[in-house]
Amino acid sequence: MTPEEQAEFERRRKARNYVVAGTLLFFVVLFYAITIVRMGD
Amino acid sequence: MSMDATTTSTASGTPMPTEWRDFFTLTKPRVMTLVIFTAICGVLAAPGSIHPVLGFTAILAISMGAGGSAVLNMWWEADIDAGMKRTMNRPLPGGRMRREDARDFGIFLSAVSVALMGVAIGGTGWIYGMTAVTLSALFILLAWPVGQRMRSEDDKMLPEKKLFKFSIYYLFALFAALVLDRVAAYQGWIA
Repeated sequence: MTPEEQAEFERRRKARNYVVAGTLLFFVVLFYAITIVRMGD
Repeated sequence: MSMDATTTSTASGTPMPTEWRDFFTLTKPRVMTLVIFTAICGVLAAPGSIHPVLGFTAILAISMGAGGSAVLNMWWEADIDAGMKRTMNRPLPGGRMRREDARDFGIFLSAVSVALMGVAIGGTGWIYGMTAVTLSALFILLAWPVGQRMRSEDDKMLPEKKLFKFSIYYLFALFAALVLDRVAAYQGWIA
C-alpha cells in the first residue's frame, strides 16, 4: 500500500467511525428521552 | 496515484473501506424526505396528541423503515441498475461497496425500525394489526414472482401488473381496517 493509499484508507475508516459513534450517541440520548417520557405516562 | 471517493481498492488489491456517504446514498434520501413529510402530516392531522419525543421517534422509525426498504431494493436490483445510465453510478453497480454489506445494512435498518416503533410507540389495535399482517403476507406472495423476475409467455409484465393492482386495493383495505378498528375501540367493542 502506497502512503497515499494508506492515508485514504485511514481517512475513510476514521470518517466511518465518527458517523457510527455519532449515531450511537444519538440513540443513547433518544432512548434516555423515550424512557423518561414513557415513565411519566 | 491520485485518490478520490470512487477508489475501491488499492493497487495491491486490498479493498478500501466503503465511504459512509455511500451507505447514506443507498437509503435514497430524496425518496425518504417524501415519506418523512407524509409522516409529519399524519402526526399533525391525527386526533389526540402525542409527546414530541415520541412523535419524533415514530417519524424516525418510519424513515428508517423506508430507508431499509430502499437499501434492500438497491441490493436486489443492482444488476438492473448497472444497465441504466441514470442508476449505473449507484454505490453497488459502481463497485464501491460489497453486496453483502448493502443487504445486511438493509436488514438491520428494517429490523431496528420495527423494534424502535414497538418499544417507543407500542402496538396497534388488533383489527388493524391482523389486517396489516394478512395484507402484507398477500403482498409478499404477489411480490415474489416480481422479485424472481418470472415471466409468462403472453404477458411479460403480468406479475408486476398484478402486484400494482393489489397495491391499490391494499391501501383501501388498510384504511378501512383502520377506521373499523377505531370505531370498534370508541364503541368499546374491543379494548
